[in-house]
Amino acid sequence: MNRAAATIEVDVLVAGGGNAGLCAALSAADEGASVMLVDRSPRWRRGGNTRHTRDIRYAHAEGDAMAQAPYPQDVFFADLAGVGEIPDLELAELLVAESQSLPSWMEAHGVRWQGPLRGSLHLDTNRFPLGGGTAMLNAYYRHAERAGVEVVYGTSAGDLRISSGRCTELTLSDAAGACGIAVKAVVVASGGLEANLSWLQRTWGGRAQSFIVRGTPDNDGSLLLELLEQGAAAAGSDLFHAVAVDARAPKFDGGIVTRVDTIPFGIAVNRNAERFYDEGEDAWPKRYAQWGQLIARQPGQIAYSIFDARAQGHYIPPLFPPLQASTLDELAALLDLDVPTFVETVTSYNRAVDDSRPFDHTRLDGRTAPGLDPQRSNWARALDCPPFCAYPVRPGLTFTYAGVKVDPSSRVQRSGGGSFKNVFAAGEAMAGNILTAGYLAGVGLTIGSVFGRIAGREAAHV
Amino acid sequence: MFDGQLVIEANRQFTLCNACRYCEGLCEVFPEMELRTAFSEGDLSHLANLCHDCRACADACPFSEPHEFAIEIPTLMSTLRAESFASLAKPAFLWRMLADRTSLMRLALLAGICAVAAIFVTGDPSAIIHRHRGSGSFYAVIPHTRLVVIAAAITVIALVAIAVSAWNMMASGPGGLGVLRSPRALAVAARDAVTLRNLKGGGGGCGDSASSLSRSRRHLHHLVLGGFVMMFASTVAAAIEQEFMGLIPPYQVLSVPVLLGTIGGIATAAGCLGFLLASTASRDPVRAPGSRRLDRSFTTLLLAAVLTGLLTLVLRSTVLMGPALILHLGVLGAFFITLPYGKFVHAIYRYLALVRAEVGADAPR
Repeated sequence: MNRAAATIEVDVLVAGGGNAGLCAALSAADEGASVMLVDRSPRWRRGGNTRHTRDIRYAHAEGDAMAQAPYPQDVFFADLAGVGEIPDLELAELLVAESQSLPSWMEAHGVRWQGPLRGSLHLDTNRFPLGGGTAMLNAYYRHAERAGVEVVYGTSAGDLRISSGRCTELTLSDAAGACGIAVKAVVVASGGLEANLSWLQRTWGGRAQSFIVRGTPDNDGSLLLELLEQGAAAAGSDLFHAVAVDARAPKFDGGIVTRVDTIPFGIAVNRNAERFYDEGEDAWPKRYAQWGQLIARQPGQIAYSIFDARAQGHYIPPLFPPLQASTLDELAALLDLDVPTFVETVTSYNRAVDDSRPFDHTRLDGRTAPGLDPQRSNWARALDCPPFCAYPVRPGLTFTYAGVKVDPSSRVQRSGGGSFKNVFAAGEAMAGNILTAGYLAGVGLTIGSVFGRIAGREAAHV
Repeated sequence: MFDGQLVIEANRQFTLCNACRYCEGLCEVFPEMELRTAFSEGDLSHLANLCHDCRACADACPFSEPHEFAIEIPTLMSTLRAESFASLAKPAFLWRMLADRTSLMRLALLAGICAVAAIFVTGDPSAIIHRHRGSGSFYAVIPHTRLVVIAAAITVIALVAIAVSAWNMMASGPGGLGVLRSPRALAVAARDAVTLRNLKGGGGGCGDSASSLSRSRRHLHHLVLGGFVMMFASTVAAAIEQEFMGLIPPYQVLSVPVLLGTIGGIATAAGCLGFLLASTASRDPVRAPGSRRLDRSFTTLLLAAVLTGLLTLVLRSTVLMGPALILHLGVLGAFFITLPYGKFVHAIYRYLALVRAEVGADAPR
């Protein structure tokens, strides 16, 4: 940033160019404010983790062309409560109520929808932007540019000058330098902390180094941490949401294609070639999200999803093919696992499988393997049909729950009580007000859209 | 059919697409891709010819370069298409001669050869530079029977070459020739081909760069094809007037053949010009160079055929009618001779790929 400081002055500065930031920028521009949006990433990687999103959850009193059954607000709320304890019920109710008008607002800002397709994923609770998150972002960016929003890439916002609860100025920095900018309001929509290794190490120690980050390498949460240092009230928890991803995936930004969902069709063993959790605990994918945390607690933060030829056709093949061998011994050697222990783990599992119920991967089929520790609740089927296959898996971080507390106007709350008058937060930076563990498919975009829209509107009128 | 590295690279990219599936609402290509986990050369040719090159997938992709996954489906598809055209063309040496090393110089030379041949066909070169008046003036330059025989011969040879290629494409692709037995699929594919349903990036435009590109290319395509159909209708109308009504050309400006031909010609010329302007390397860096060469030579030749036709119309009562007609016939000769060895075949292959996709959509999964 090499601009004369005197020339930079905007009504609303939005930090973060993902879904929440764009919704804030668009809604502030709709209210007539002058808006600058800064995204830390280079243009080609603009949009943070929204690039990898697929669908958005919304309440609807009646079925529509995209989601054919109704999804009343109370059902949405109950689903949300079913995930885990909600820290702020008022915000959760606001989220659900405001979600109802999201589709028309999104359409008005350029987003198009994908109708139900033959043979494809379809949910009555969620809508799928046509082409997914990146296409949605591109539509929003084009709309923002038409609406006069100034978009700056490769630029971080920080160093907020706050006095008597009001931020009057902050610093924008990029590779070329830094400059100050005078603002009437700030919206913090800079995502979470999943790419911040030292923050992860506070909870996970050295184990954090082997985690894989599914999204942008730019989410280090520096602005969030700065807000907390400046007296913002904390929300959420120090946990993260993570799924099992292929250990061969790139360290950052592998997105959806590295996800491994074969675990319930076989067993999962750790580096000691031993099982460590009930692979058939609950409906998949509802439970697949916990595997990231489970693997993070195993030695070396690695595990192996073991299955056989029978699993073919039950899962979406990820980016890389599985490692294969015609015998269990060979597979163990391929994975560098202790061969006798591995073979004993598989054969004792095979012996325990109860064949009295039919296998049905579409529901909790109650096919157990009694007597095992850890137990096995569903989809138990002997691994005896070569080739034997394995995916090495690591925790793939999706998002973090740590954030700042906000009120229903999206204003950031202060730890001593009261709120900052002109500092707002939206999206992952404040999702911890609603989620502290677990996840409900598509609710990340709902939180970003609802609170981004509110934050932009309020920021335009401070 | 394809270079080995290209097959490996296409399998890599399509496998990644299948693990993602975010694009499945954009067009027929991605649902077709999802039916497979490995891609044979027949599959690749099928998918590449099904692709209408709308680029909406590039707009939606989080893994495009410079991302390390380096997914570039439009470029890959245009490379595969060009290679599939080349390998399907029969006889192969004519593709190498007319398409592989194609250049405007070569095409102009071919048109010149055709024009010189036409002069010899006239039998009476002195009739070429002469002010002809009234009906039968064209045939005073080129005798009717000779014209018909030669035009029919060139057309039949071109159609046979295209038919052989199309047969091979269907026989070697997924589902084989059997997919052509579904009248419903043939009809649906015809509708999709004419409306260019798959050139809409999933329906409607949202003003994004990809879909505004695809929208303008869809409009240009409608101009070219619509104009082409009108010119064909003009030829049919002229044949009817001549054979059944005893009216010998040239016809009045306000006659059906001249009106259809003129309007159609202007539409096609406008569409061709638009394509040529939009397809330069700087405006469209996505397209594979080999593919761009095919596009541009076909479009240029079509444009030249139309412009020389219009020129003949304008000059038909002057002494220059003969030379203009000879030039027009020369370009038309080159156009029809190169029909199986250039971009034109995309119309056939795309339609057949649509039929195959439509049949596949019915099959149980």
